Amino acid sequence: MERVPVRQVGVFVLFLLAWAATTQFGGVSPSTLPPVTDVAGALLGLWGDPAFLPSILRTVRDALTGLMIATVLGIAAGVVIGTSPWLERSTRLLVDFGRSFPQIALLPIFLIAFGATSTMKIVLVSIACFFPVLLQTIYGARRLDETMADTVRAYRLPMALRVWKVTIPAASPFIFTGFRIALIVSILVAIGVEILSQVEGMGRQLAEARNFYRTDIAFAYAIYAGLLGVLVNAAADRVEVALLGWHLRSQEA
Amino acid sequence: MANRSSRPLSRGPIGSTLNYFWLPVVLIVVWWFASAGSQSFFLPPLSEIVRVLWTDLMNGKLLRETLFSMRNVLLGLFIALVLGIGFGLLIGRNKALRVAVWPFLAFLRAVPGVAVVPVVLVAMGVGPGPQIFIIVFGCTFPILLNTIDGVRGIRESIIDTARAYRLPETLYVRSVLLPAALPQTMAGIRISLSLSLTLMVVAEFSAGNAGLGRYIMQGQEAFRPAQVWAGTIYVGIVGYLLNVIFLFVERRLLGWYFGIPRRAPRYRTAPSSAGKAIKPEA
Repeated sequence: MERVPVRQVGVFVLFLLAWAATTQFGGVSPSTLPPVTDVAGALLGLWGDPAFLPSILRTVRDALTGLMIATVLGIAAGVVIGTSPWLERSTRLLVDFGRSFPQIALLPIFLIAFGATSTMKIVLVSIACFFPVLLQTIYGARRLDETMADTVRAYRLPMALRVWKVTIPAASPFIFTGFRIALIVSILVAIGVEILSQVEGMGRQLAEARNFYRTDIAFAYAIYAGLLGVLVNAAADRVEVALLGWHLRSQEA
Repeated sequence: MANRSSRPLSRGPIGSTLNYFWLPVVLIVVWWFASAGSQSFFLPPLSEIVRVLWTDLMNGKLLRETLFSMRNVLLGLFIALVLGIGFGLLIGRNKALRVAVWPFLAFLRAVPGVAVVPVVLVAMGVGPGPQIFIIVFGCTFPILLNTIDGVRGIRESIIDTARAYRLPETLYVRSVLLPAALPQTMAGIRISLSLSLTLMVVAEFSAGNAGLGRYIMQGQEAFRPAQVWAGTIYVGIVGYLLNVIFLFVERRLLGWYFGIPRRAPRYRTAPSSAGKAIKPEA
């Protein structure tokens, strides 16, 4: 492959040119689509804004806190449910309802209950992230293959040992898939809550810029949110290789 | 017999139905009685919530909002589907194009859909137009990227065979590319389906002019927590039904893929598809 990804960069450049042409000759108002130069200026200018970095850190911190809570609870509940077919059937309707529910719709209830606070944001994020982790853990725990299940039974492994050394490692590739989905959800929900409820964070900055008709700043925040997503995904790639290298290697073979 | 031995005692249709329903029923009953005399402002009695839900269902209010919301969601999803699958097939089969646009598309996908809501609402105002646009923006990329990846994953031998037989273009796309990419595409659609509901709710909370989101917000503004609860539960039921329909369609379309003709498994390996960042080139 080429050293400099000319074509990939070219696509971005083409897109920017098309954008510039639209605002230059298309006659769209700058509050609808700000000129690309304005947005570029806002992207740089934001670094001089004292509220910028703290708002990003706030969003990341709350999203990750919620994600961690959800991951721990989701794995715990998933292992319990996944190892008992009876429990799996008993909870199926609830789990299905929970996973198809747009959790952000709980926001008004949460606002009444908790007020517009970071805690409220974290609780909502963890509810939204809980279901992807739970679902994949249940699936992973259920899929334990026959030989492994028989071996565990033959050796009469104690419950705790079985969960730690067999069920969770065997389910870990699935758990990680759930974790990845939850990771994207966590940022989405955190920013969504901030936009709607004025809780501190990137979403609030974005919504405020909108209220002052600074669409260029709003665009800049949306772009940074996208970069955050890319970054977080790349980090997840690294973690996956570190944690699940054994599994990935065995799949390649 | 052997593979049935792991099943618990609840045999037969009655036993298994009970197995599925006892817990939800118990929880609802507990909620009903625990909240019965509730004086708490934000935890109204369940009986009150159900009463509000029933009244608004009967007087057509809730139905009107449902029509508005669902029309936007379904139209938005449909457009996302056409764009995602169409461009997915196009980009997926052309390696040079695929390599070139992948980082750009991956970036666009990473922009959280909710972040465009304020921008779009300022630009396009209120009404169904911006609502649909937001859903299309958010839901196209999961379908698009998954379809590209599905097409990319087709085995060389299949492509070579199709070429050797000189399949006409339309036939090739319709009966080779599309079915081969379908499992991945469906995984993308599933992500988009739940995303579309989230975007619908956020957009309606923000614009607040119509739809189920408006119904919930109205309850909040009028300090009627029972209405907030009723609307929230109702949205959950709608989401659940959409998912049931999706699973039904998926089972119809992908029965061959899961290898089980009638009863598809409930869980499946999201085949590197779901939330996973798909690598551009192996």
